[in-house]
Amino acid sequence: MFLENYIETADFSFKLSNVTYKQEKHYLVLKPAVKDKELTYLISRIANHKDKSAFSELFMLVGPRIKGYLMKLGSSDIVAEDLLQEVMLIVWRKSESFDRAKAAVSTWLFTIARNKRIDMLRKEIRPQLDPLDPMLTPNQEESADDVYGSNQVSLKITNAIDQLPDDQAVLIKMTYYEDKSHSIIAKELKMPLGTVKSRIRLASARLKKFLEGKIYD
Amino acid sequence: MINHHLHPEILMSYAAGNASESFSLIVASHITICDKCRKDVSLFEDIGGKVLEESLSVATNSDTLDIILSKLDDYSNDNEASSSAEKNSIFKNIPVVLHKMLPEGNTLTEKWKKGIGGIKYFDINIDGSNKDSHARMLYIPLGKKLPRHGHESQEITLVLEGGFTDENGHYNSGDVAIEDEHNTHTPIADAIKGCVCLTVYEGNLKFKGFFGPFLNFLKI
Repeated sequence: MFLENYIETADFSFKLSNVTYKQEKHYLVLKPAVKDKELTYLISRIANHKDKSAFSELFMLVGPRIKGYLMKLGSSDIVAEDLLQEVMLIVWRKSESFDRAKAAVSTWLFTIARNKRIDMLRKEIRPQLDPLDPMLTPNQEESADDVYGSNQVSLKITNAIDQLPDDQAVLIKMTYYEDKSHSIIAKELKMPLGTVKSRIRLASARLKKFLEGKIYD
Repeated sequence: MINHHLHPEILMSYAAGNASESFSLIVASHITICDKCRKDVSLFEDIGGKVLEESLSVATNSDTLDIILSKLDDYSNDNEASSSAEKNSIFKNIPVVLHKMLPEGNTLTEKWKKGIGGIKYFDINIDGSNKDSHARMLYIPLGKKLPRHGHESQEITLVLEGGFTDENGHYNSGDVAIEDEHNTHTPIADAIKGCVCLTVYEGNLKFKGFFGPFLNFLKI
């Protein structure tokens, strides 16, 4: 998680090619657990003790990465700086809501950055699930090895995207790495919207099954 | 028990953050009630987390951390929007995310517009950049039929109270019905309670049948 060594030199445009992933797997097996644990510890320090030095340390570890993510999705340096500030303020305020059993730190940070980015782009309230909604149905009980956030998940995602056919992988990449809606993807690839949707449906269903452990390679 | 779920590509675009405003609204509403789809969204958010992890680091400005630290203390929780569970409504089965989009004291009788055959509707103001993104609350009285219609693009309907039946099956509270551009359907509300639902679509509805041109003109 938040690998510092290899990623600086890797070209992200090759991320979905088999070669890059094969290289990364090596690191993913060795390193992520420590990092995620460290980040989780820092967040718990912030949640329980309002610990500013833990917050600063967390910023050092994840701030540049979040900024890079925002710029990758099209924000300018100035906008990415503004958004990063807002993201980190949410991290400070909402640290109690981080639930290790539900998500990895990177997933939690992703959702905060995603929401802030959309707020800025659309200058409006984007409808989002309210986690305090009294109507919220309870989650089904999960077995211990089914819980998200283990370092297994990170490795599984790499494998899952890796096993998609190229024509599906490219659509997943445009969805996540380039933040494109179905209709924009259809325009850019000169494909009928229905085809884009059905291909992403196939790809997402396949990813879902894979991540749930129903497909083994 | 929810029998009709959202398609995975819709959940994925919500998780990735590029679903339209109206589609985000219906996904957020449905996953409040449906833990299965909510779990799928978490799964697709894990992929987003992975993308974040893999992003290149870009050096922050030298004073970014100091600026943030200086703002930590004056950030009180007071400006947090209160959960609208306190809002009064005659509807019991409206997720908070949807409730926030409805006007204060919203009731069936007062604020909704009247359509034909006792049908009532309320257009939710989606004030976004995407003018083709529409969200509408709809009440169909007991046993009434919504005129047969098709769509320029996808239409998704979430049942909030009661239920309805169309050519494809029966939908209860919490279920979603997904209609693609090539389909037409004629929803009929349940005989006991009628049906309250949220419908979202992009583009225009296309009504068919004898009254079609008239309805298309009125755009109920």
